[in-house]
Amino acid sequence: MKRSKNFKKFCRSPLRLRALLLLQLLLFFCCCAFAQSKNERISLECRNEAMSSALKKVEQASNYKILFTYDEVQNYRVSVSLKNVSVENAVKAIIGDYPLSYKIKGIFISIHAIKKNKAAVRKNELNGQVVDEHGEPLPGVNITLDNSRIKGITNENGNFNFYIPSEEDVEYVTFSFIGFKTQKVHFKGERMKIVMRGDIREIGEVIVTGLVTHNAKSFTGNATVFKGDDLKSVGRQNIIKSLSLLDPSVNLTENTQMGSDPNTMPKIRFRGESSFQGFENVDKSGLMNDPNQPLFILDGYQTTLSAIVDLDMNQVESVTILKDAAAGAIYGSRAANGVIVVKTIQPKPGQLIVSYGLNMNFNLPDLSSYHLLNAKQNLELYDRLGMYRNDDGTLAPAYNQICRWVAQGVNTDWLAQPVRNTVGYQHSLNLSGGDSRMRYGIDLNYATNPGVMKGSTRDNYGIGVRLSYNYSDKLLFTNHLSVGRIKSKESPYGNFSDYAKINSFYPIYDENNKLYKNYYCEDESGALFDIWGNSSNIPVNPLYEASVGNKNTNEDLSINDNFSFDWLILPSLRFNGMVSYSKTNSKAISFLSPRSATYPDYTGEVGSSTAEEDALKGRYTLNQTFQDNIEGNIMLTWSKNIGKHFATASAGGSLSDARSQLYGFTAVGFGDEDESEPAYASGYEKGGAPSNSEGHTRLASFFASANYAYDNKYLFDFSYRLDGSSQFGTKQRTAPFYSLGFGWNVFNESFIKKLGFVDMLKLRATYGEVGSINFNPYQARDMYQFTKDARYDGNIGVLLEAMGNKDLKWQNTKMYECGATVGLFNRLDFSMSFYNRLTTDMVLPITTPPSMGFDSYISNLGKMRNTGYELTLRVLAYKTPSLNVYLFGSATHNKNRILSISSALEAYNKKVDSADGHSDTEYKQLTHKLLTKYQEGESTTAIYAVRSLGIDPMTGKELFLTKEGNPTWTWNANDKVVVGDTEPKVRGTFGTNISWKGLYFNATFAYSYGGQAYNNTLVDMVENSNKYQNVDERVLTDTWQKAGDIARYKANITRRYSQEYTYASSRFVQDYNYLQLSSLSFQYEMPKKLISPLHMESLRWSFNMSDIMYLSTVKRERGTSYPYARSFSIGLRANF
Amino acid sequence: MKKFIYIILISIGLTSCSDWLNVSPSTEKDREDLITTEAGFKEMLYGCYINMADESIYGHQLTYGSIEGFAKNYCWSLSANYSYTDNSVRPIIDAIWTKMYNTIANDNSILNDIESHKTLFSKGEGDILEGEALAMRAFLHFDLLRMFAPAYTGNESKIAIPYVESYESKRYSHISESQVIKKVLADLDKAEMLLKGANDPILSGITRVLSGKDNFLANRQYRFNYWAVEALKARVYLYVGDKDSALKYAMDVINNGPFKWVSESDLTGDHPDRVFMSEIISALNVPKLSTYYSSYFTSEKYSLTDGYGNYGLNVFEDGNDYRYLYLMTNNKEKNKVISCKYDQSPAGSSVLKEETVPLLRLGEMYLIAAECNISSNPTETIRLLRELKTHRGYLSTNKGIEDTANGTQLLEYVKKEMRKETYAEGQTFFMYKRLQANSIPSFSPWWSGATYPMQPGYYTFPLPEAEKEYGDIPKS
Repeated sequence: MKRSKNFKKFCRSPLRLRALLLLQLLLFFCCCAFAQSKNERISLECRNEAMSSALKKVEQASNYKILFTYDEVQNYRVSVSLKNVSVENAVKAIIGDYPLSYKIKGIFISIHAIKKNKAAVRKNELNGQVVDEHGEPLPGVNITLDNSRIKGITNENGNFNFYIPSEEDVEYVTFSFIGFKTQKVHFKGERMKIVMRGDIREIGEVIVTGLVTHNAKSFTGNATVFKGDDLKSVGRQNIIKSLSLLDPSVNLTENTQMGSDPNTMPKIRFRGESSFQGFENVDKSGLMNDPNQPLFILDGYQTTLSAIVDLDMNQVESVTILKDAAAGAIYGSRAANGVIVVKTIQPKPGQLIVSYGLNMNFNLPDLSSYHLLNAKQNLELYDRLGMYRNDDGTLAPAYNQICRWVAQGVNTDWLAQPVRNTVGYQHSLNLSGGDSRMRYGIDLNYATNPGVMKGSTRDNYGIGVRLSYNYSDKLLFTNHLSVGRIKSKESPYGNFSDYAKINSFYPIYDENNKLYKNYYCEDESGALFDIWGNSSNIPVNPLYEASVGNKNTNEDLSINDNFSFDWLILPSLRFNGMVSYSKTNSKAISFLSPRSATYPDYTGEVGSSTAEEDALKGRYTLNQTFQDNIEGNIMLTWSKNIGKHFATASAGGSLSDARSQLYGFTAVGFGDEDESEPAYASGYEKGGAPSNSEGHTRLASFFASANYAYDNKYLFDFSYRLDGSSQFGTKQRTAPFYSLGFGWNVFNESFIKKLGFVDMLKLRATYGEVGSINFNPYQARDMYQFTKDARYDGNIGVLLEAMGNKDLKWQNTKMYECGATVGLFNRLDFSMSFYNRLTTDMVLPITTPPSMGFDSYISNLGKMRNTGYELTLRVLAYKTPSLNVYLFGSATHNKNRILSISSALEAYNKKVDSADGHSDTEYKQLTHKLLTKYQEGESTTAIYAVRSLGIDPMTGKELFLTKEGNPTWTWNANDKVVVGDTEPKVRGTFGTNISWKGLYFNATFAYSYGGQAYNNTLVDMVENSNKYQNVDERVLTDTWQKAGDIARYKANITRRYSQEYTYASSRFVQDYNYLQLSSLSFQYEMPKKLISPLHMESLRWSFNMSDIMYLSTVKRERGTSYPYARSFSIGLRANF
Repeated sequence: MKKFIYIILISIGLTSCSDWLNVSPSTEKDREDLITTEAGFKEMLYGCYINMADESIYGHQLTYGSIEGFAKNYCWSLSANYSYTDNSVRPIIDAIWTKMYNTIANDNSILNDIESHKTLFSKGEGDILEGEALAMRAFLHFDLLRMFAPAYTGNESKIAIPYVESYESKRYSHISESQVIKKVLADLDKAEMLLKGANDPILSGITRVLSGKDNFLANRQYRFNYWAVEALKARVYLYVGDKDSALKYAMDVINNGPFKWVSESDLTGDHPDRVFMSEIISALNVPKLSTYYSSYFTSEKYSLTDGYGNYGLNVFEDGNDYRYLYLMTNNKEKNKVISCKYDQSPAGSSVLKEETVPLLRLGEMYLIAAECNISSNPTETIRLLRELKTHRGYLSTNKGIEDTANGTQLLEYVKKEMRKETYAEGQTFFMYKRLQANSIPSFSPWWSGATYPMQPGYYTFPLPEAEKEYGDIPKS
C-alpha cells in the first residue's frame, strides 16, 4: 500500500497507530470491494474520524489520488455518511465547513487550506492554545462546537485553528481529553487560551473520608489531601515517609537505634502522644498496635501500618489525613490519633493503557556519625589508663599480644565489614482499560529493598485485579482483589553495635586465613584466656557469628478482596457500601546455628559442654500468625440543592470482625547449619511447649453525618457515631462520639469579592469527641488460662490471668480546633489551625493492694492535653507559561501536658528512679538508657536528669545540684528534675517546587528547633563505655586525666578494674536543632516527539535523593543497631 | 460475601447486637463461660489447688522451704537475725502474700457463683466443691494470719490482714486477728456442714486410685475433705488457745477418722512410703516435686541445723525412730543429714506416694490432743504421746515419756515430737510462735549456742510495701 509523505507523518502519532493498523486492514477489504469500480460513485461512512483518514478512504474507494498536507487537515475531524455519491461530492462533504478548498486535475485531487491573514483573528475563525496546569501544551485535545458537527483536535503544540461558518453560530466550545476535566468555554470571538486541569485534580475538590465524601469548599473539618504524584515528588521510599515531608502533623519519630533498617516500621505520632506508650502492661500482647498510631483506612477498610508502608506508590490515587474531630468523628472510637485514608487508583475507561514504572534505589551506608579509636589510639588509651598492668604493676601478657597485633599493622575497620552499597528495584506494571460499562485494571508490582547491612532485605510482590461494572450509569460495582507477599530477612551479621564495640586491633583472620572465632591469648603454660586475663566474656569475632548460618526471616502472604457498590437511586439519593475480607498469614523463622559462638565448644574437657548438650545445639523457632479481617459498611446519602440552601445528610452502619491467631514451636538439636529445617532437629526444647494465642475483636457501628451550607457562605457540619465493641466492658458496650463544625466562606461575601484578589478565605471551628481503644482484646473480661504445665491429681485447671473490668471503656479525646484557609492573587495559599486535644479516661493500670489478688487492674483514668498549631504556606513565586516556581513551608508546634496519672504510673516512676541509680550489674544496661518518666504537669517527652555543674578540674569528679539547688558530689535519683524536652518548639519543612517545560524539580528541607536530646553516645561510648571494647575518640581527647584539666567528660576508669558509672546528668542534655535536606528530586517528562517512535504515550524520568544532608547541634551516633543510609533513586514511568 | 451482607442487614434489622459483640476466645476461657458448666467450676477448683502447689507457697516455701529455715530446722537461715526486709528475703515474703491472695481471688471467683449454679452438678458434687473452696479460703487466710500478724494470744484486737470474701475489684479492709479467726471458723463451719451433708466419700473410708483424672470424688486426701476441715479446726482452736474445742476436733479425727498408722513394712523396699500416706488427712499433689527435691535437697542449706548429725540424734533420741531411720539420709561425702521425705518413688510404682506434700496429718492431731490434756489430764497426754511413738518404732516400754513428767516436761515432749513429726512440713515455726518461745533450738554453723534467742518481732512477717501503700489498713 502506498503511503504519502503526509500519511507517514500521521503515522507517527502513536495513539493513532493501532487505529491506523485497523484501518489499513479495513481498507484492504474496502479496496477489494471498490477499487476496480470504474464508475466514480462511492459509499463512505466516517464517525468522528480524522479528516486525513477520511480522505484516504476516498482515495482507496476511487481511482483518484488525493494530495493534502497533513498539517493543514490534522485538526479536523469528520462525520459523514455517504451512499453512492460522486467522488467530488464525497470530497465536498468531507471538507464541509472547514476552511479548505479542493481542485481536481486528472486523477489527482489536491486539497488546500484557504489562505488567511494569520496576524489578526478573523471573526469567523476559532483559534487558540490548550495547555495543562503546568503550562505544557496539550496535543490531541478534542474540540467540539455546540450545535455543529465541526470537531477538531489540537496539534502537537496544543494549538488549534478553525474556520467557523459564522461567529454567531458558536456560543460554547467544549474541550475534552482523557485524564482531564472537560471544559465548556463561552466563545467571545477572541483567541482562546485554555488551561485544562487533570481529572485527578478533582480529588482536591472533594474530601473522601473513606465513608463519606465531602465537598471541600463546604466542609468545615480539617482534612488534607495529597495526590499520588505529590507523594512521589518528595521521595519514593514509602507513603508514610513522603507524608511526613508533606504534612508536619505526621511526625516520624527518629529511630536512632534502627537507622535505615528496611524491616523496621516507622513510629508515627500524630499531633503528639495521647497514651503512655511503652508503659508495660498497656501493650503486652504483640497482637496490638502502637497505641499512639493513627488509624489507617485503605479503600474503605481498616489496615495496618506495614500494609501502608509496603503499598506500591504508583497505585495511590490520594491520601487524606483527617486531623480534627469534624473530619475524624465518623471513625468514632478509633479516631483519636488521627486517620489516614488511602485511596488507590481506579481503572479508567478507554483503550488499553499500559503503564510501567521502574525505580532503582541506591543505598549507601552513612557511618559519618561514628568516631571510633583506631588500633594505635586504642593502645594509647590503654597505656594511659594503665589497663594492661596487673595489680602488682607487672605487664599483663595481653599487652604483648596487642602490641604484636598493632605492630603487624592490624587496624581492622570493623564498621565497614557488615555494610554494603545496595541497589533495590521497584517494578510496577499497570494495565487498565474498558468502556463506559466495564472497566478493568491489573496491577503487578515487585520490589526488592536490600538494606545496607549485608543480607538484610525486604522483598515485596503483589498482584491486583480491579473490575468495575457500571450499570446504566446508576449502579456501579467495583471489586478489587489483591494478593501480596512480603519476604524479609534480617542480616546474619547481627547487631551493628557489635562492630562498633569490637577493638580494631583484633585481626579478622588468623595466619591460616581462617576466621577467628574468639580472641584468646595464651600464657606461658599454654592456657587460654582472653585479652584481659579473664576466662569468661571472651570477645567473639562478630564476623564468625555472621558466617555460621544464623537466619531470621519473615514471610507474609496477604489476600484482600474489596467489593463495593454505589447506587444512585435518585439524583439526590445515593446508596453505597462495601465489604472487604483480608487474610494475612505470616511466618517468622529464626534459626541459631549449632556452630554459633553462643554455644560452648564441645572438646571433651572438663568445663566444656557435654555430649548431651552438644547434641542439643542449634535452635529453630517458627511462629505463624493468621489474621482474618472482615469488614463491611453501608451508607445512604441524600443531598439537595434548593436555591441558596445546600444540604447533605448521610447515615449508615458498619460491622467488622478481626481475629488473629498465633502458633509457634521451637526445635533444637541440629547437626549442621545447612540443615536448618525442622526436619533435621532432634527434638523439641526441654520443657518447651508450643506457643499459641488468639485475639478476636468485633466492632458494630452506626453513623450519621449532615452538612448544610447557605449560599456557600455559612457552613455547618455534624457527625455522629455509635460504636459497640467487644473490647469494651459488658457495662459499657456502646460508645457515642460526635462532632460539630462551623465554617464561614468569607471569600464568597460580596465585600471580599469586590477586592478581587481573594480567591479563598475560609474560617472554621470544630469540636468533637473521639476515642481510641488501645487495650487487649479481652482486657475488660475475667480471663482464665489453662495450667498447661501443671496438673492436679491428673486434672487440668484454669487460673485467672487478671481481674477484668466490666466498666472498661474507650479512651476519650475531646478535640477543639479552629483554623483558616487563605488564597490570594491566585498565587498564595496559606492555612493555619490551632488545636487542643484533651484526652480523658485514659486506659491505665491501677496499682491494687496485692491482697486483691492482683498487682494491678486496668481502668480508665489519667488525663493528658496536647495543644499546638500548624501553619502551611505555598507561594507561586514566579510564573511564566513555561516556568513555575513554587515555594512552600510549614511549621508545627505541639505541647503535651500530663494532667493526671494513675498510681501504677507513680509506681513505675519509682522503679525508673531506682533503676537509674542502681549499681547492680543487672541494672547496668538500664543506667545507660534514659528512662522515661511520667509526672503530672510535665510532658510525656520530658527528659529527667540531675542537674550538673560540670567536671571539677581538680578532682575530675562531677558536681551536681540537688533538687533544692545545693551543690553536691553525690548523684541521687531523687534530685532528678526536668532538664529538657525532646519535643521541639517548632518543627516543619520548607522547600521549592520548580517546573519548567517537562522538567520538574523539588527540594524539601526538614527542620526542628527548640528541642533537647539526651546524648546517649556521650554516655554510652564515652563515659560509661566499656573500656575493654572500642570507644569513641572523645574518651582519648576530651576526658579528665589529671588535676587542672578542664574537661567535658570525666575519666570513669581510673584503675584497671574500677569504673564509676555515670547516671542521667544534665551534662548530656543538649539542644537539638537540626536542618536536613530530606528530599531532592527531579522529574523529566520526555517530549512526545522523542518517544512516539517507541510507541509511548508518555515517559517520565525521575531522580530522587533522600536524607542528603544533615546538620545537627548534637553530635551522636545515629543508627546504633542498624546504620543509616544515604539513598538516591532513579525512576522512569512509561505509559503505552 | 452474600452471607456477610445478609449478616449486616440482619444486624441493622435490630437483632441483638450485643450478642454479636460477645466473642469467645479460643485459647483462653472467659469466666462468664466457665461458670455455666460443671466442668468449668471443677477446672477453676483444680486451678486453685495448682496455685497452692506453686513453689512460692506450699509447693516449697511454706512447707519445706524458707519457713523451715526460719524455724532453724535447716542449717540454712535466710537472714541471721530475722531481718525480713533484707533484699534476699523480702521478695520471698512478698511472693507468699501475693500468691496466697491470688489463690484466694481464684477461690472467691468460684464461691461468688457456685451457690446459684448447684443445679449444674450431680450427686451433691456442687456442695463438695463449695465446701472445699470454703475450706481452702479458711486455710489460706489462717496461714496468712499466722505469718503476717503477731501471735494470737494478747493480740486479738490488733489489725491484721484482710479477709477477702468476694471476687471483685474492691479493697478489703484489714481487720483484727479475732475477726479473722471468726471468719476462718465461719467458713470452716459451713464447709463442714456442706461436706457432711453431701456425704464426702472420705466419710466412708479412704479410697485411692492411681489418678483422680475425671473422677471428681477420687483421692480425697489430696483435697480439703471433711476430716481436713475438722483437723484444721483443731489447729485453729489450739492457735487461739481454745483447748477444749481443739481437743474435741482432734479427738474426733483420731477416733472417727479413717486414718491408720503406717507400718514399718511400708517404709522399706523399693518404693518406701515416706510421707506416711495412710496418716495423711490432707496433702497437696505437687507434680514437679521430684525436680524441686533434686534442686533443693542436694544443697547443704537444707541439711539439719548443725549439718553433722548431732542435732539429729538430739531430737530423734532413738536411732530406731522411723522418722530418723527412713526419712533422713546421710550424705557421707559432705557429712550432712538431709530429709528424704520428698524423695518419693517415681510414678506408677505404688499408688499415691509420689508428688505428695502433706498439709495436715494424724500425728499432729495426737500432739494437739496431748497438748490440750497437759493440765487437765496429764495421763491422757502421756498415753497419746506413747501411742504416737509406738508407731514410730520406739522400742522402750515408756517410749521415752516419763510417767513422772510435770506439765513443763510434757510440753517439751510435745514440742520435740512436733519437730520430728512435721519436720520439713512447715509447722515448727508456727508452734514456736504460738507458744511465743523466746528461744529455739539451733546448732547453726553461724551460731555457737544450742539455742537461739527469739524476739516477738521475729515471728511476724512484714506486709509487702505495695500492701502498706495501697491497702486499706485502719489504724488499730
